[in-house]
Amino acid sequence: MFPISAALLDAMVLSLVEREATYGYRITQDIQAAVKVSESTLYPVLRRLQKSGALETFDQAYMGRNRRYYRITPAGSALLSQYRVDWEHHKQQVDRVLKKEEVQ
Amino acid sequence: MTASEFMQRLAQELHGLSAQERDDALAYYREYFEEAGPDADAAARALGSPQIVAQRIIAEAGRTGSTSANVPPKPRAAGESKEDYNVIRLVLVILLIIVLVPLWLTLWILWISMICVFVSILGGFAVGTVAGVIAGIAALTGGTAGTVMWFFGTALLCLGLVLLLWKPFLDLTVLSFKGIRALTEWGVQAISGKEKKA
Repeated sequence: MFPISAALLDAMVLSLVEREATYGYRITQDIQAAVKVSESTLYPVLRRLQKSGALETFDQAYMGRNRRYYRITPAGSALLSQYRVDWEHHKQQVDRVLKKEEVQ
Repeated sequence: MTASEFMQRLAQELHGLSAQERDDALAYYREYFEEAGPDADAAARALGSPQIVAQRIIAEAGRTGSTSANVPPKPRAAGESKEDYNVIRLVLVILLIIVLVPLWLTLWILWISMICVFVSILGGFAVGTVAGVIAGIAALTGGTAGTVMWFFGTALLCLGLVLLLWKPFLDLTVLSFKGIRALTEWGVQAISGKEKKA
């Protein structure tokens, strides 16, 4: 119902990866469990975050094949903190209008 | 669309990307389908069109400026299929030329031969007419009445044959010329690939 902006998607992916290093398929599943975004948007997001130095990858063998894990970098953590502040602010701004008691 | 079909199409669509970008994207989606396991085909369907997926990858690669070429993959693919088409066309045209050129040559040589035969026949009768008249006039002074009659008779016969034959010969020549020309034009159009004028 409410569109997920690129910045918000970046923030959500960073937050997921911050909890634990994880891989593309699971990130896609976790994001989709929360919000409605196309499966095909996740790879460009991961690629973007990786190139900007917010995420880094490492490969690990799993069941005889390779699994590429993403983990957050210090730069990514800083970016995520900023996103959280911005989101909190955005949420309050929306709530100021939307919440009944705030309007009255 | 199955997962393997999706991978094939994606590889084609990512043609314009740098090798690094393409390999990374393909490795990601290969792993993605491996993770999906038995649901790989369903995952491929959920991803939608490989073309759209590729466009998103290319857009992101282009935005961060690490593409080796900003050539969009679509026109290139279209160019390739056009080249294939041109090769097939060329082979067909060569086959047509091999088949048609001897046919044309034979027909035109036959046509010229036919004209030669007609001209010879008509020419022969024409000469016969003139010769008969000359011989008849010559016979008037020295020959018998029978000889004179015979020469004039021959001349009349020859003239009659010329008058009788020239029209059908001419018609036959014109008609066959039109027929062979039409066949030649059709072949030239087929080879050059141009549309016939309405």
